[in-house]
Amino acid sequence: MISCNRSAPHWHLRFVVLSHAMQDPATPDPALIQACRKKDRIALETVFRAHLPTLERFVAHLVGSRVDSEDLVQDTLVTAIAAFPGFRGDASVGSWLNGIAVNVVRRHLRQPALRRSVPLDLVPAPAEPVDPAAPPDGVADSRRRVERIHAHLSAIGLERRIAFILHVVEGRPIAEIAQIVGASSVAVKSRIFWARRALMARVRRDPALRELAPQEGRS
Amino acid sequence: MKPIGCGRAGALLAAREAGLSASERGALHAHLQTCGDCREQARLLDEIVLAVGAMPSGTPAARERTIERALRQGLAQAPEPLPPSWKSRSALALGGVVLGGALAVTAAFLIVGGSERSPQPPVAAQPSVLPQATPLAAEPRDLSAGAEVAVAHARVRAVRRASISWNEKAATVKLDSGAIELDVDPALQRGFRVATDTFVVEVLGTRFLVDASHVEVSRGAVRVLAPDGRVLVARLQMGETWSPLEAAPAALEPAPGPERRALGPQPADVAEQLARARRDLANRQVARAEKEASSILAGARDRRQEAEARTLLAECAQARGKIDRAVAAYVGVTERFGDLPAGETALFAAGRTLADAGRRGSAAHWLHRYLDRYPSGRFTVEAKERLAGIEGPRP
Repeated sequence: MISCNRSAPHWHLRFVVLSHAMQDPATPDPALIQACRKKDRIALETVFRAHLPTLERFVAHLVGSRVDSEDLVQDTLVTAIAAFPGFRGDASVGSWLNGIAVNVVRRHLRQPALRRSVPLDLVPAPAEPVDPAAPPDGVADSRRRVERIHAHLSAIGLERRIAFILHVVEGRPIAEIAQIVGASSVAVKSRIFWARRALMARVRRDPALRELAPQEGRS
Repeated sequence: MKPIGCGRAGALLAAREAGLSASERGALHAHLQTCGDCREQARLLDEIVLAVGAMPSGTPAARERTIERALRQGLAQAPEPLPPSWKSRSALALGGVVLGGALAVTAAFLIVGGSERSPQPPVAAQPSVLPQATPLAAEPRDLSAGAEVAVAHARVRAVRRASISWNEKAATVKLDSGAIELDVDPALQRGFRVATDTFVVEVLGTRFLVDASHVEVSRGAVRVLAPDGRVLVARLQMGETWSPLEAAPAALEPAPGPERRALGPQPADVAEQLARARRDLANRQVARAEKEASSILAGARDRRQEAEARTLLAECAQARGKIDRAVAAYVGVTERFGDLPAGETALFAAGRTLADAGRRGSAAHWLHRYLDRYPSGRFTVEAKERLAGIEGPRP
């Protein structure tokens, strides 16, 4: 007796679609996006997997903390799942996800109640305790430098910081940033200009950065 | 090649990662040859890009866990958003505050509409604004403390972690464990029951709290039945509680009336004061609960009472949304009273509170601390479950 499995063609089709999408995550198949709109688990997984490294890096750059960024990336994906039915496809999925991440980070940084910062006495012990026998070498200097620079970045205002990181650090074009942050290109350029200016002034004034060993710049 | 000024050079320096054309690169290079300030700026920008880019990225396994957690959370069926009438009532119940004349009508509705025999006020005659029923399955569903689900024409909130299931045909929520608070819509005039192992509560439009050991009515009225259908309490009204333990053995028979205990203001002793403070907290009378707890703390005779009072204060802070304060208070209890059951409870509560607030990193820290300290504790299973939710399944 031949049994007929009606769901098989559907699953086969979906597999084909996903395979295609995985070959080119930047321009996913419309059928994949349509499946995401319907909250298809496999389609969502595929899209998220393709964009997660970039998204993770972006959020970590913005908040300067791995612990916070993991939570925020998860919040971004959860928001994206709910928002997918409204995704029109005007922007790329990557830009759209980054736009959601920007909003999640904005909310995180602007609302004290939502901040994951914890009082010092509640801060978990670091996973890798600092070895007291370790020499105060370049690694420690580099760590201090990164901390200082993140502190300065945190002080320059959220919108400017977002634009600065997207353009100067991540190398995104102005037009894409405008789409992500929901502002005009002129506004984005202005934010980058003022961010750069404020950051330069702060870094130059920081004696801790001056004292640190010089880093080799890019050629 | 047209020379450029420092302003243009600055913009080009900022745009290097985004990519420059050959002519832009040439112009920038020529400018940097002659301008020391811009060279210094280029060096600093390089340093900033390197520093920001040095943030380590997650491992592939961690990414998979992030995706899995997001899918679990995002695809899970969340309760319907509260419609206006529910919001009004929740705000009233939560804050206990009537915000001016606009809410006076709502307050009147609460008082009148909560009674099963009262005529329906105009506000209540709008069943269309009631939440859609959440398809709560027949199999038990775990609710973490504070979680809410809409079931038929009722709203069910877990006061403590609870396990419930829904029998649609019998319009009955089965409470397997924990404590739940129900807000049943009076407009529909439909039966609704909550069944525990020892008793059944039948309601028509009310607000009440049930756990395995008691039922407490904060609005309207309920009827309490034995599992076989015999009426144990014909009418339990607002402000009254009933417990099968206190009523036994009379509760096992169709007794003429329950053992009722009015929520009077005078405490007989610290234990009763603690019990009352807990009831206040369960009824969202946070300020009253805090006052009671502070009073207990001032007059506490032994460590056990002090630990309980401090735990209550932590719970009050949590109810107010002061997460850091609540966690600090829980940690304080566990540090001072780690040898008492309250100390164990407080340590788990610290992790649970942070997890419920979405602060997964800190939550994991305290849950690990709990498991390290109480490997066979009362909350070990739940702590492991929560950690699995945060970090993925443990080997």
